[in-house]
Amino acid sequence: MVALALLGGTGLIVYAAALVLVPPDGEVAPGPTDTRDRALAVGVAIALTIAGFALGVFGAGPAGALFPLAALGVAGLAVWWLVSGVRPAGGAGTILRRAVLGILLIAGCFALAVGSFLASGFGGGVVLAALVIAAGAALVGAAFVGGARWLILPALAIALPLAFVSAAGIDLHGGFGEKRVDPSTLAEVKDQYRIGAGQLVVDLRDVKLPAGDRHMKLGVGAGHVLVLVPDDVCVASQAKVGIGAVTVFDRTGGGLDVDWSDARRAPAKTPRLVIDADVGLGLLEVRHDDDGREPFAHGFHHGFHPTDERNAACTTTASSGASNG
Amino acid sequence: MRRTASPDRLCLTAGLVLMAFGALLLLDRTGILRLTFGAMAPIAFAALGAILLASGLSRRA
Repeated sequence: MVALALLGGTGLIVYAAALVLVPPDGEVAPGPTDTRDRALAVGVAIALTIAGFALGVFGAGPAGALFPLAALGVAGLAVWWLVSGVRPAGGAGTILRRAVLGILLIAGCFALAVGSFLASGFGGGVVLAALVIAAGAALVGAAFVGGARWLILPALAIALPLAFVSAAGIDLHGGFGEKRVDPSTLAEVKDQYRIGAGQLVVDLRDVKLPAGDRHMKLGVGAGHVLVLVPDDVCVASQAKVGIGAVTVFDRTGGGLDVDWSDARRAPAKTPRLVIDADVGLGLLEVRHDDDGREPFAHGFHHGFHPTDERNAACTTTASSGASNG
Repeated sequence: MRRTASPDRLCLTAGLVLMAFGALLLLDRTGILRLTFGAMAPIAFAALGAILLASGLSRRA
């Protein structure tokens, strides 16, 4: 089994299948032909695995789909086991039927989880939390009249995305997709911009900001906010990020529960943009130049490295840094 | 459904855990609590762990 685990993870699937399907010693009395059957089954499994690798069945290409299908089947059986409380056993047809039922339950729970994520993001968290409590109460009641284990997974599928959205502070209001704002006069600059999910670009490079402070609130549920400012504007920023990062010119910070603060002072007669951002899941960037790079093109960590640009219009730093609460 | 002599341990544990977890989420969503990842992640894992533990123990029983 250990050797098989090294062969592209096939052994892991076989191990999981054995864990689900093979009863532990003593649970079932051995029959007279069990030893022979077990040896036969192991021999066939090894022969099939060797044949599979020889034919490239576990590799890339359409045949490679067998691997995730097998994993899905085992996961379906495990779910069936959890829900029914009975180890999957019986003939091939019975096991296949239970695996399919388990897979259907997984698919249903996935749909529920996506729905819960979206509903929580749009402010339906109170209703969903009440649903979780109601499901818990139903389970407690059912425990005394035979049980209703099938209810556990759907309840978790609602509760866990809700917990994720709550912890990250994701607010999906503000629309989806790509939004670009290019004001050309000061009057066109709004005090706040937000996007639910996607990318928001606020390009202030054509705006002549007057000396003094200009406050701007930014919000993103899940995605990327890029603020482009002229070279002569000092930028002070603070942000709360659930999961993600903040990059303001050459400074950056990120992780979970990020409290970002980059308090800068501007010299007299210099405009200062004071950004207050709320990011659920994603990235806030402030730059002078739009180099067109995709923030997540090279992976989550490589996307938001600081630029060579500096917040040169500011004179001093009152305090700066990111903390993970 | 009929009333059984001893309750289903998994259902009972999962129900109590979900009620407590749901109450925390309700407090968070109504603004009474503010749970960040630092607090939420251990709570969520503990809830899952309790359910899995009950599942294993009920199977053994």
